[in-house]
Amino acid sequence: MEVQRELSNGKQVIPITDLGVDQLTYFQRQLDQEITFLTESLKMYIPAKIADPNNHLIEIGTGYFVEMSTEKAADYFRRKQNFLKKQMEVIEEALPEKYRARNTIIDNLQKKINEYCSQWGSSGFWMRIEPLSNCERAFFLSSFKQNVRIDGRKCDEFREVKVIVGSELGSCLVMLGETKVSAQVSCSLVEPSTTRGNMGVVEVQVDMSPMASPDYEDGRLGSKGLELMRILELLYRNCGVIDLESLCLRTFKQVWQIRIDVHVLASDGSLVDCACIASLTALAHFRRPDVSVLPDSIIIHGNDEKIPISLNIYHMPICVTFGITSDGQNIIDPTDKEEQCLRGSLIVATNKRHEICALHQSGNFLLNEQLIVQCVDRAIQRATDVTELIYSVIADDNLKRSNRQQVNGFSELISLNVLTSHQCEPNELIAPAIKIDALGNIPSIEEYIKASDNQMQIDSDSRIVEQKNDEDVELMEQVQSITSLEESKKQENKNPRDLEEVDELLQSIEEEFGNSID
Amino acid sequence: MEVCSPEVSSYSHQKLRSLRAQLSFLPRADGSCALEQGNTVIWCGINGPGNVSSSKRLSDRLVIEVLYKQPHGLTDSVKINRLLNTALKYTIDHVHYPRVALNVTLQLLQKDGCEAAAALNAACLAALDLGIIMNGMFCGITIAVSQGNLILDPVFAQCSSADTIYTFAFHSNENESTRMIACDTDGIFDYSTFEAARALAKQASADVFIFYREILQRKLSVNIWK
Repeated sequence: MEVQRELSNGKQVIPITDLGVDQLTYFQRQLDQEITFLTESLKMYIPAKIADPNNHLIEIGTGYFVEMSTEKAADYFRRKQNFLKKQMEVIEEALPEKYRARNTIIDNLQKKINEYCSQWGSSGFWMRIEPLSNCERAFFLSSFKQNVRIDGRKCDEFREVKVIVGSELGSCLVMLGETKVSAQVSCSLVEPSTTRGNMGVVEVQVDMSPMASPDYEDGRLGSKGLELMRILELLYRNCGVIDLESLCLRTFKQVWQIRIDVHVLASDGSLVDCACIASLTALAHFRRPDVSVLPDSIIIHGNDEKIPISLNIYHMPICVTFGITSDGQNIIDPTDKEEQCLRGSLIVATNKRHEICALHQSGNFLLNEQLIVQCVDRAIQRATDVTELIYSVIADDNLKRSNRQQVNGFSELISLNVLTSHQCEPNELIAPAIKIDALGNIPSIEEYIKASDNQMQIDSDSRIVEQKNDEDVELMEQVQSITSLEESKKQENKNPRDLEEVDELLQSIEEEFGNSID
Repeated sequence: MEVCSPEVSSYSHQKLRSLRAQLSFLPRADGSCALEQGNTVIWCGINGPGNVSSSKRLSDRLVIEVLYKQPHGLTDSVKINRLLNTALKYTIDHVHYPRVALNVTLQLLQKDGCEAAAALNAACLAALDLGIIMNGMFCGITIAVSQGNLILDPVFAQCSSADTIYTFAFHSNENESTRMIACDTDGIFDYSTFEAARALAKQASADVFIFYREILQRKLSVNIWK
């Protein structure tokens, strides 16, 4: 019987979850109207007095009034009351069903809206969305089939890599096409965890700056930032890049913590490649201060006392991003627009010794074994080239520092050949004279630490740095030679007159040395 | 036992370090500037006016969010943020842009003294590159006092050994003369020293404003729409 009714009425059963956002919105509005009709149709009444107790003018509907006696009016209202009771029973049955349907539709509508918002990769607020149009997508996909890309590359070619190390030890800036990432490595002494007391700690901090893209927000990583952070942590903690046991000073008490700050400055695809090269170069460039471990204390020497020590780096895993299209074609080093056209990406981390360090797949697609083998072979070639580039940059910087040449670091980055750059040649000004306060004449006891030119200081904010002069160097050399002479003469036990003369010379030189310090 | 009479230091010739800047170099930022002041390198990117969440939205004026970042991520930069906020709010015509936000992001790449002044210069150049309505220009000048000598635009070693460090933000307009809109001091000083430092910094700011004009003339020297 029910089947026949359905067939005769022509009804169809459609689940609510399959409806779109527009249809759900329409149904919600329709149900709201029905609910307001059912609930607000009851009218209001006001108290009043009866003028004539025997006769009444009764409204029977649609503007008609009939004069009745009291008995007839009471009978009429009794019959109307029974009719209204039946109607109220019908409404009370229908209203909960309407409310239940409305709540179901609202829930599904909210789910649809949340899915729609999550597609744009933002959990609420973005400054500007740059969507990819359908024409652009079709154009990109057709260019992939013809093995030609928008910027002139083929599908298996990389963009140009520029690696620049800064004047401060442990700083690096890498430009991969238009993607720019800077990395800074710093160190501090911490207490290790209870499980691994003999190993140092590596901490990775990724900063997705709003400078890189309008989609990024400060303080939040987003999906790209989270993926980048996980891959970098996987490489530096689990792949054995750094010798962590050499960072231990006292077991279970004090170890070095190496902190890597990665700042994304411009984002145009292949963030993982660029960030990986930047952090590896910064680690190779970094030097920690020398430490003397005494039985009851640890002395950390400054840069002027002892030369800082570089880290023990076992190998350098280089990441390569392979974009995968729906047809299974791989696009090497995709840009940001190309990444939006692709189905997903495969990130392969290898080193120059042909070892696979990490494989990461993002997106939802199937990979076959042949494609993975192709990607790994290409990544191994890339790792060899990039590792040679990093070593050459570090060697060049070490050569400059050892020859006491001026290390420009990130200066001289701006080329004056383009129209948007310029250089200022300031005029010479005369500084006016100022009064010297009388209290300033009292000499304060301060520590003077001598540092040579172009030598960077670690923790030098709390110290007063004074440039070394040639005269001071000569004076120190003379003092050292005279003290060595005095020791040799003491061994020979010569005349006391000569000893007195030597003492007078030392005192005069010390006085001159003290004057030069002041 | 004798009290020394107040001495007066001699005049000295001072000069700003060389300024180098490049505009419009970040592909995703609306206005961007890379600035080198001596060996101090700082990058600035400005996005907007753009969308803003309803909790931060102001119905009558522009919301300016300044973000100054160090190479080591943990250090706080409250003073530089305050200087930048004051200079930007004073200069940008924020009444013309209701219900939108402006994101100003500065990243210090290399530190060699005068970071606050370089940040102010980079922010102003990025705002000029952005093309937002401004009622003038602003720049930053740092002066250090060391053993009775004023040092204009000191390097990091001079900043470390200085008694007092002043950072001034100057505003220039075609109608009014150059005036100081923000100032940050570090150390103990006499007021006459402060006045002398401000006078010297005001003279030096003319060079920076000339540099702004020259770089924008060079940028707009080729008519790309022809």
